[in-house]
Amino acid sequence: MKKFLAIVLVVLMACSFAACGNNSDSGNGDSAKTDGDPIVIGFLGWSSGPDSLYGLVPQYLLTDYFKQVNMDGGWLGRQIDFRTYDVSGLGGDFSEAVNATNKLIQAGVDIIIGPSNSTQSTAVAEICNREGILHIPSGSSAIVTVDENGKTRPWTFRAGPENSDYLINIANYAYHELNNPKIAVLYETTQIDCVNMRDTFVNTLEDLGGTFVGEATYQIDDQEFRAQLRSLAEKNPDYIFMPAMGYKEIGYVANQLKELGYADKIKLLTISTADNKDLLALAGPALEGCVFNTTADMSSPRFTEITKQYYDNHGASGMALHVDGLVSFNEAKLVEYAINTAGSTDPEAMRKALEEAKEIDLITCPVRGYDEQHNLLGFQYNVVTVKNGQFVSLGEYAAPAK
Amino acid sequence: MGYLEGIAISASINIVCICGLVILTGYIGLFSMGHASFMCIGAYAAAILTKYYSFPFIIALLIGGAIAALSSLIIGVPTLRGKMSADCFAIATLGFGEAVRIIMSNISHPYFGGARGMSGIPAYMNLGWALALAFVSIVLTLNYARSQHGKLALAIRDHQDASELIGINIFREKIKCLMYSAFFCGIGGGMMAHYYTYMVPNVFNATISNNLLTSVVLGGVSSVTGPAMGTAILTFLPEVLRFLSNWRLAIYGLVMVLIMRMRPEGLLAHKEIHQPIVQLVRFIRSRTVRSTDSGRG
Amino acid sequence: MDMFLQQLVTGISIGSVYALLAVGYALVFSVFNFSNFGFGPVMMLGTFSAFYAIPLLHLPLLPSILLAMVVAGLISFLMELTVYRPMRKKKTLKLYLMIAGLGINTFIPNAAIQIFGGGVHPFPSDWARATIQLNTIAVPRSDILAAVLSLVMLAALWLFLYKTRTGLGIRASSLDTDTAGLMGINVNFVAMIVFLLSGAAAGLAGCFYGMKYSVFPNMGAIASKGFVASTIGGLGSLAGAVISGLLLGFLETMIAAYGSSTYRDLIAYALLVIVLIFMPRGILGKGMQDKL
Repeated sequence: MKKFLAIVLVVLMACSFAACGNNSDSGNGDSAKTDGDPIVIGFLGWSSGPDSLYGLVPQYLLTDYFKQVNMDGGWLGRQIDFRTYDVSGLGGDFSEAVNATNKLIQAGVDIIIGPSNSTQSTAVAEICNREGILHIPSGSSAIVTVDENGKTRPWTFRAGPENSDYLINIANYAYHELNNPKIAVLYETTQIDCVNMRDTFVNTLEDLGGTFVGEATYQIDDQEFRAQLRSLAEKNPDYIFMPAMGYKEIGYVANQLKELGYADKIKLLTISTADNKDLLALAGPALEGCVFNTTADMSSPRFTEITKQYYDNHGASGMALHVDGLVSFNEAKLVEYAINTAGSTDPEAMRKALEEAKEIDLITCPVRGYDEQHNLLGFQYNVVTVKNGQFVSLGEYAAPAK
Repeated sequence: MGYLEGIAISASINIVCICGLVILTGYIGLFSMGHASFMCIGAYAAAILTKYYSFPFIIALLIGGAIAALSSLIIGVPTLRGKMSADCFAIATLGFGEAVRIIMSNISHPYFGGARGMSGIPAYMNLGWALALAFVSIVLTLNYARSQHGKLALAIRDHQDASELIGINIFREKIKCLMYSAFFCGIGGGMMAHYYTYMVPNVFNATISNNLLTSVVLGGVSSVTGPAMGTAILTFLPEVLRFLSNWRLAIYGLVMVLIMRMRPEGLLAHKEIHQPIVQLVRFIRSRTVRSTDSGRG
Repeated sequence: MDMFLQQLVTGISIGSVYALLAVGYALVFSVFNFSNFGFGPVMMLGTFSAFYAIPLLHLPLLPSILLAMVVAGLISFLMELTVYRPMRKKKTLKLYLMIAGLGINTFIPNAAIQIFGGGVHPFPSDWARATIQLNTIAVPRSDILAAVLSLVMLAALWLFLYKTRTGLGIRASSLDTDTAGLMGINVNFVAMIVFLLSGAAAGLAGCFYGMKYSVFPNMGAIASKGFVASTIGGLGSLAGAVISGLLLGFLETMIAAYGSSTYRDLIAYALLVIVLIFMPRGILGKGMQDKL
């Protein structure tokens, strides 16, 4: 009886593997790669679920870009096989990202780019560094490129600024340029990136001797902030700092501050998430005086071409082009640099090319190569405010050296 | 680690979790919307034991399961003692799930890591362990379901008042089922932690709980192998649908609706996968026995 | 005191959305004994119809809310027609209907992201966004509108259920659907009315949600709070659903304001579970035997 059960289960498992195997790109691509084969680049993005705009916009940009590259003859005379994978999963866990990474590696992927969220990027980085596959995620926290023992992951290279870099910049800006205002913090407690950003900001501000008057928290998917705002307002802050992961929350907070009648006294201080035209539509008048820093001045001529192309091709998608999307676009430029410098898709040669890079012209700005923790050097921060319902750049700002 | 191997491990982990829920949902008729919390508790317990105290893997898993089972008493004792309806019990478990996630996100002790989670958990999990544990869980649960305990559970589900009249201690039976389910979810959580080697409390959210519930129901109530098969299907389906690109999750939902619409009893309600074969074997055996009998006669 | 009053307004404002959603759940539950987990998408699609109708058809606010209610009602009825009714005919357990609802809940929002895009949009009505200042307390117009329209809707619902023959049929069905069918009540007709009404409640709630917050494909996630409220209120009890919806909004706001915003959900759920322990059938639940 037990034997039969065992046999049936084994047969069942085997059948399901076989069924799945037929659908997947089976075969080991690494072994028989010749010069004529396409270069396989895998993109992992958060392309469904509540925050799909942070995966879909980069996906559109990158797909268009690689299509263009292929029309121009590809790189090293080889075409690009660009594959996109949705890793948002059914509940934001990272099993999807792990499965997609395994699948890409089995299909003989040369480089994996994305995702932008630290939880998932870390899970992907663990696999890529075990397998020796070049991994280029965008932005996010330190744990993506540095493991828990403080060792740099050799195969993971960041494509955007590290979050703490961002936060030190905005904390310095607030202290030096906004004349040491009273700052309260409102942040989400359940996501790594938010907690890390809050910690960096508060630590930097306290080191500078800034005035930190209080904090409140919220949970993922919250939409009602009036209770927290009213409590924070009792402490009379000049600014509420909000390291939000989505622009939706920033819009809600701005609108609710205005509804409560605090919009004149209390302004929002936030990060590049706010650099999204859709936010102006959601909370334009309420955002007046809001200040944030971002890696790119979207209004600069540097982005005219990209912006025009994006809206021509994807304007109907109902999602505005945002800075985080452009930072993800950097990944393509890093891949291009690595492949063309190495002259092949040999993983070790590409890794070396990135490690020894001096000058790379990315989408958002030119950079000066990597430091020992695989963070890019040379990001500029542009401070933006909202005036008359429009983003107005206040110019570049660099934190004074300690 | 290979792609198929990875999904097979995920499927096995889900099967282990499901084995407990089968008894809770399919047999005694309570449904939970927060069993991810027991996975979370089991995962943290097992990971802390192996990472900081170098416990052997299997012992850490069992202790993780036991702690999850004990913690289920926190929600079980107050809610199951009265005559709370199945829906209210679901709400209570939903609340418990949220509570565990929030507490785990805010523990600042270095072992737990708060919202940053735990990384560097030893990678003990492999396909062999996963399949073995899934197999053992299925066999244990089949035995539980066939035993006196399983029969009592069915009796309570179908006729609660009548079974109380004939002297069944309903509270005790329900608690037993809840602890059994929490135990397996705890083990599944431990397996998950040692497979991904990294975890954050956010992973154990309400969606995971709903997926567990969905697998059990999709597989069919009063069956153990049905839900196990349902889980395997639901784990593989999003991967099989990858060719649909961005429409993948939409189609996944549609397939779920269609399955429920076509087979509103679930895949295998009141049946087990191996039953036809067992019957066939019995049939053949009885034929051969009869023929030898007649030959003798 | 001002602070307390302001928090009270906030609590009632979010609570009224929960209450409407809970009423939608309770309507379906009272007759068919299951929770329609496909309720969030109904609310989302209704709101999107108003969202598109206002700029495209130049509809004023009230007609567009009405349109959202009609569209949501029709979609809810369509769900009943294509998914729930065939399953009910096969005498399936109520848990299966709920899982089918969860499937719908995955299918529609994800399809909507591909069709409408993943952006978050404001509800296109400037009128609703303005606030009225009462002394030191700020009350958004959308909240006043929400309160008035919710009351109108609930009153109309009560009149319909208690003063008309169809309402009598629905109440009879809610006691025992099968027997009501034997007594000559057309259960399919009752189902149509119930799903239309519950959809309309979702459409109305969705519009308020859109006005207060925003319109986006995953806005239906808020419906889970409605489910919690309808269960706590006593399954299938409309008055209970309204009371517990408001209670949930009030608790959430007060805990976030005076307790801890981090542990808000934890404390709110703990209080609700305590309510359930003392009232195991919910606040206004009837002593009905419920089976899986």
